[in-house]
Amino acid sequence: MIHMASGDWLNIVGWSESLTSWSMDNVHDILPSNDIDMQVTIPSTWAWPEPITMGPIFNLQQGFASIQPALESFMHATIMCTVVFTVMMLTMLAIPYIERKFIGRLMDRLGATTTMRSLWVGESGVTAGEWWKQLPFGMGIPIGWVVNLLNSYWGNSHELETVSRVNNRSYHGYWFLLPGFFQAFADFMKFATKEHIVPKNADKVVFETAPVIILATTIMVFAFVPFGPHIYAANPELSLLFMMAIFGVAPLGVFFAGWASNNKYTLIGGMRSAAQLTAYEIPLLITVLGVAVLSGSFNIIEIVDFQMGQNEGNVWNIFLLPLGAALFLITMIAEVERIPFDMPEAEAELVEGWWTEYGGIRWGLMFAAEYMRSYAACILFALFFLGGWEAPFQHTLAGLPIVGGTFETVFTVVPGLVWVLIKAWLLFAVFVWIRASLHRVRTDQILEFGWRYLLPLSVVNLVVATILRLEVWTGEPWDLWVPVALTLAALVLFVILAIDEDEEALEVQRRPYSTQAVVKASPGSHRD
Amino acid sequence: MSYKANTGHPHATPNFRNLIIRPMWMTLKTALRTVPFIGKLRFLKNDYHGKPTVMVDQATMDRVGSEHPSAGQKFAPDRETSQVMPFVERPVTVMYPYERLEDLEPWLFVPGNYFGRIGIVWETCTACKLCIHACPNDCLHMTTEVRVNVLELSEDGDEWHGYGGELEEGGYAAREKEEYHDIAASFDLVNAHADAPQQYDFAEVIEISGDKATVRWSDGSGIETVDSTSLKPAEQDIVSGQIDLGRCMFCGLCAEACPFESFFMTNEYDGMSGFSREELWMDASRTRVLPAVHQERVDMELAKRAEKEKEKRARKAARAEA
Amino acid sequence: MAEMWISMGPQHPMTHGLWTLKVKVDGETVVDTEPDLGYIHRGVEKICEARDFTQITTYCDRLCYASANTWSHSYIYAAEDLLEVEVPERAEYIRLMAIEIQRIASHLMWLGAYGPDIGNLSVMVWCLREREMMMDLLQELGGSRMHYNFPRVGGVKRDLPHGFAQRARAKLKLFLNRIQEYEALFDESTVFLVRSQGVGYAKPEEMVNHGVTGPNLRAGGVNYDIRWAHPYSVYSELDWEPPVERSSIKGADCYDRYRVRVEEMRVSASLALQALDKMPGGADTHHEPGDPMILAKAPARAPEGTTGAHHFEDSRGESMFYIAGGGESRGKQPYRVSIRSPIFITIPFAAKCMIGYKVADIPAIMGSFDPCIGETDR
Repeated sequence: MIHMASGDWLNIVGWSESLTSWSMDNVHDILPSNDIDMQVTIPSTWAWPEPITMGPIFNLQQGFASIQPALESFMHATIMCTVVFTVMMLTMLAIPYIERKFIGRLMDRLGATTTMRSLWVGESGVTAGEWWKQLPFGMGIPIGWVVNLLNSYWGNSHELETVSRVNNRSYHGYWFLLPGFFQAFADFMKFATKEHIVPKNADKVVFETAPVIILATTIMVFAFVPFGPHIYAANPELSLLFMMAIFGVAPLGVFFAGWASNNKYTLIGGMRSAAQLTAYEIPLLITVLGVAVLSGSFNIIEIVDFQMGQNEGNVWNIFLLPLGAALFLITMIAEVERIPFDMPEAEAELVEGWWTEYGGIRWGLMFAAEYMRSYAACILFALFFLGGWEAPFQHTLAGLPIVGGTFETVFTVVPGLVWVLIKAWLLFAVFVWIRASLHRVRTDQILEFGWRYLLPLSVVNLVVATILRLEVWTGEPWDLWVPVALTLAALVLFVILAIDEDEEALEVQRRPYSTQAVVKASPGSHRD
Repeated sequence: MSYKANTGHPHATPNFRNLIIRPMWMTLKTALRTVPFIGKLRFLKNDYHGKPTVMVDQATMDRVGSEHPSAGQKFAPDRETSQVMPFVERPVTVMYPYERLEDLEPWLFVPGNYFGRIGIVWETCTACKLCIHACPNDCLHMTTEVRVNVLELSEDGDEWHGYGGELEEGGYAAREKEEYHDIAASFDLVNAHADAPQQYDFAEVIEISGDKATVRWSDGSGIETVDSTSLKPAEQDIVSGQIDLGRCMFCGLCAEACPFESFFMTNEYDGMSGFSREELWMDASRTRVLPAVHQERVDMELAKRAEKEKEKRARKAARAEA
Repeated sequence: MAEMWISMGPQHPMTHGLWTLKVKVDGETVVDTEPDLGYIHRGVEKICEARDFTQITTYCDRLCYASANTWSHSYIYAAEDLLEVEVPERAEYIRLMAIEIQRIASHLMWLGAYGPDIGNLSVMVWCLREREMMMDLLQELGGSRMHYNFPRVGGVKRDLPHGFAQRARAKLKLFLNRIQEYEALFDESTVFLVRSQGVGYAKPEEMVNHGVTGPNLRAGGVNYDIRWAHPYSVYSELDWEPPVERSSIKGADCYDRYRVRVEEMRVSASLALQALDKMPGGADTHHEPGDPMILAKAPARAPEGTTGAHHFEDSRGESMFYIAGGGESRGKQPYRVSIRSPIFITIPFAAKCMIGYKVADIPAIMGSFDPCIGETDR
């Protein structure tokens, strides 16, 4: 058991433990405590040839007491697994929403934001007319001033006419609800009701097993991911290792799926996937190893606690290992097979890649598994590099002279779960942003990139982490110059690389003039 | 050789900047332009984004009137609604069926220019069959019959007597059956179990020379030379028509072919669906048009015909004097 | 892994049309290819033998549906060659403008499909957004968004609508500015460059020998644009140059072909703007349909033994119509219409270009040749 360093009122683990111990204690107390003179012998069976004798003195209460710890931990584990799974699924609903809306904006598919527009224009329903006038005590008058000011500065005189043209646009969502919120549910219902088709000569056993492997390992990952300081299903000493190991089993399921479908496309997709995921496991693991070395522990909660520190001067790992953060991001995008690394399921060549032949709930669940893995990747990044459940500048803000008390209260009231989720969702928005901007990299280029560039860089990262831990770290929270120097160095390097437009390279890149073997007619020649 | 030879884009090198920064910045700019307040910041826009342009021309304005939702609307040439808060210049999506594109962008649907559903004014159709010959796909079908022009049925002395057509070579003629009036007087249309008696015998006119006309009777009794005064001019009139929308490719050749302002393509793109191929046959009831359009067309055609008739009479009068 | 044949098509998201491409792969490397065409053969040439010269235009729109105006004009020039008709100058300018706007729309469709082939989904929406501008212009001109039936033997079916000039100028100028946004996602994106440079080399000599024309050929450094070499319509009166890429020693790769088309879009936009400026009678005047300024009287019948042919720069290459007149026995209908489709010639060549590259390069190479199977199968 690890000590709980960070205080947070949302102590679900503690509540669950106390609930289970309270209930088991009550059961214990209810049981009769008198000794019963009884000897029970279980004769030998084919399962256990030796007969088992219990007794002669049998005390129910003491017997229960001997199994009570096991029962308590079992009940606790069940409760925590359910809670964590529920938290994960509920918060994951934001993920397809973010993806859908943000990618719509990036692709310029969604027009101007008109959802909240009715607040200042007044279209229909609640906000029809000048709604602010209906507020009591004249509270709405200043609101009206602001609205009219904004409209006069940035509007046109035909505002209401244009509104009448866009009237009835609120039918696809009230102004205060998130339009498009239930799309994820509808999609899942659709998948659940579709036909299950197994290709004719597919290997049925493997075909059915593959989705199970993928989904099971993906969900198992969340057993070790702490959503808050006291919201986790399991917290062994080496939770990081366990989690990375389970994360890496899914490629096996992908390969099974690709092979078992009896389809050349899926086979190619499965091969590509196996190669790619294997290639990127190694830089991923080495990067994570760097993080673990720096933080001094393989336990995720301790890594986050290391970033939170005890006093001022705590630093998020991203400022200490910027290279590692970038590497983690890239390798995780490759692990979850998102563009630019989604060759295994590239629609252009392979229709859907390794999951072409799957339909119905199997496909739906594997699709959900892919998003779960992205979500896991985002949460892990938030935990490893962004300080997990710590608010930005938490200690600094809480230590400010006058307003520090307010911040302190805010940070106490808001549970750590909220910060983790916000960071994870923002990071997922970055994933989506990358997806909308970049092209798909070819498989051999992906592999070359992974082996040739990422692997050495991750080793560099490991070296940096080791030096930091062994030489620079004094057991006290970091001095300010350490993260500042590292971050500045990374930024400077980034900027140098970004502005480097080598003129000579540009010239060399231009392909040499061709020997034009045949040049056609000059302008003005007549038609023959 | 003075051709314009390129060697690629000036920044097209696979370097670090182009790896992530440039494409991601382009997409982020595009996304931010649609966000309230931030979308108005100048560094997100080049000088061509969201510039309002005059899109409605005077002719369209006259046609739709100043009460139309597009009057006073500021448009951008593309459909990007890049200015939020509160400019809405042009919608990205037209929320059909609540909004319709012809209301939002009326210049796209100038009547007569757009290949919408076919509209027919049956009253002015003369069954000339030019549309049927023009159609490349054999979509138009028409059933006709020969009838006497209704103006011919007037008596001498009626105010509209004499305004019917004239016997023409190659046209049709009709001669009243002698026994018709006797039969008709005693025919009880209400209770009889037979068809009503035919009033005319029809014929094709082969030749007219003075008072005599050579005709070929339609009932097959051969060629005969008869007195012109006993003949009334007749014509092919339309009984029913159908358009097979399943074959129609909306090319508009039929509408161009009609000389009588009876056949045109409306602005409508709705209401042409069905669950079977038979439902795609548009008969008279499904080629109707709005009353105002209908009236306009009928007026145009009647004006044309009256004009032609007046000219004909003027020429006749001039010849009579000469 | 042993060599195996994979069939891409006929239902496949990549193939840009209905055809099959069988590739023989050895692991991830393409060893052999075999294209299979003919799935949408509709018998257009035979149908046209039973149609009037005016009715044939409607079928030619549907040859390549993404580029309808270029094909119907390609036919109409051949028909005018057969029937020996002089086209009024204003009609030529209107035709040129319609053709160039259609060329822009066709290239935008290609670019919007090429991006997702390589993996970038945003650019599809962006290109289609600009294409909507062009299709709106063509809707005003022709009456519908895709199949316009716009030219007539001797001119065009109707004049520019009221206000068309101001809208066209605004849209084309915005489009010229917007092109650099797509270029940013393509030329200035390392991932695209590594996917398309060095991929699918096509030597210019081989292309000329095989008969490949159009942007594919100009990407190899061969300056053959029929509008430039054998000018028809009023191309010789406008100020422009065909874009040609100086390719490398090895030939034209996918990036060169992409570059040529982007530059062509710019050239087409400037041609359309020039045509609006130089229109005889002004771009704001409007003549009624059938006015001699826009439509000359044309004979409806072609004497027996006469032929008409015209080669035309279609969006995808050199398209050619060869029409034989039939005389009294055929009436208003031709004796034979023969259509040369550029992509029909290009696809076997493109299939050969793929050999030696990876499976992942197949959509990149195939997409860069811009196939349109409607014109291939006719």
